[in-house]
Amino acid sequence: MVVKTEAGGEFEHLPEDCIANIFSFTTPRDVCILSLVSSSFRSAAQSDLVWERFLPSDYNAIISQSSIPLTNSSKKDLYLHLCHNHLLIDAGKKSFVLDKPNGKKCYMLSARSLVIIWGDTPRYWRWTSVPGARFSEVAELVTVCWLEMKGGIETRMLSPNTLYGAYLVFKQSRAGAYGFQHQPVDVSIGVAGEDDGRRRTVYLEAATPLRPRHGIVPRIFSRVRSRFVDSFDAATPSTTPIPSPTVDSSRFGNEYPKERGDGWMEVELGDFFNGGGENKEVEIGVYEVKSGQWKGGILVQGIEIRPKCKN
Amino acid sequence: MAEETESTKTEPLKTAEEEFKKLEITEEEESELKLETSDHVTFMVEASIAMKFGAVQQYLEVSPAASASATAIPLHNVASRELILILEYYRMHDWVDAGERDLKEFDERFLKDLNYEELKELLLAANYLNVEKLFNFLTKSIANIIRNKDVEFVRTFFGIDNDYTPEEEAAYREENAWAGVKFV
Repeated sequence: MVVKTEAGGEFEHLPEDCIANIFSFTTPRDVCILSLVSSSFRSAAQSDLVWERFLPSDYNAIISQSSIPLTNSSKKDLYLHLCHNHLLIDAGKKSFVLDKPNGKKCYMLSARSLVIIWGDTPRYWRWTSVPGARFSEVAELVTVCWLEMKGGIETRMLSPNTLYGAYLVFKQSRAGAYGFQHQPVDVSIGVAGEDDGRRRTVYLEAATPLRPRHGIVPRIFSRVRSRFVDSFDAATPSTTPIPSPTVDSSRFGNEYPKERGDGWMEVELGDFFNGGGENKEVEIGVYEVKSGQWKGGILVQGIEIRPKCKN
Repeated sequence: MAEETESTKTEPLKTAEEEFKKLEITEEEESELKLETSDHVTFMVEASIAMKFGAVQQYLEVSPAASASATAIPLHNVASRELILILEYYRMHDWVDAGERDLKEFDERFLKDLNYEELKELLLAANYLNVEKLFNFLTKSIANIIRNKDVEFVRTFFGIDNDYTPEEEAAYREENAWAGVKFV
């Protein structure tokens, strides 16, 4: 039998594509760590072979829907581009982005792609554009009694073997939200035609009282003000959104909205596991049709569908 | 420690090999190729298996006479210890009666019996021999080991020295900070 010497040095002689092959079975996050090992590992960590595997298998089809030409030199650049830029797809009705640590697909269904009851009646809902939104239009809820929004996504568009969460992305309009405080809103998520979906109750206003004027200003004034402020808005797109009141959401659980990093709020509507088998339509709904009360003053950007971290 | 693992492992290997030999007797006599490892051990290997090795194919393309003659095909970068493992893997995966579950169980056991050094040696051998299936299996297995590990673990695992200057390393750590790379 041959006596083996320490094999470490020998291993460095592995060809770069062999190392890249190993890397391609890890995750983007791992590869970043691996690139810090040595210069030869850093070189393997830039390889197209690695990053091609991290891109979704149908990335070409997704990119081709986007109006922005992508001329990236390497697969790594393309990967990072898709992580850092929300690509508008489906004629601008959805946005697409990759979740950076694992390359999973995330979408936002724009308000325009949702079915919104009364959505075409300007007395109740208006379509407006606001700075800082991904889409050219967002839906402004002026006032309704019957609040109903529904959206859907086909599971074949999503990454397989992934737990996804769906989130309503919204914020107060300049007029201020009313009618939502302490008002339970029903939300549901489920496979179309299979079951009723899972239902829960969320709140679109923070658990603690908002700035007092929202409670005090009578509705009629806030609506007048809303019209004025919106024309003002259009003239000065640089206006920064009103910061939403900070709430320690951990105290209340996920039925209350949380601030996102982008100036919008979100509330979780539910989650579903995409095993990746047969293509199914997942339906997501938001309803407040029970109280009979008037409510309004929110801007709805859409419903985001992204991998959910297990807590 | 490596010595211990080796001595405990040769026994089951031998018996497994004998079992395979017995199986083969019942089948028709198959043509064999003579392979010689870097430590000068010769092996008579079924042509159906030896021809899965890219390095053997390549050798025979250059010197076709070796397939018929008694000349051994030299495998310069593969030691007998690795070739035994590679043959064990391919004989199992080549076995027609092996179901998916058998193969899964076999793969798991095969991997469990290897320590890190052996695993790396085997990857080098598989890379040299150009054996696709085993190579992919080993790369996936190594990927699983180095997942979610820190830089120091990976350096130790591969036996690789840090060749960065402190400035370079600091810059690259900064660049990859999003991945949650810990400073050590």
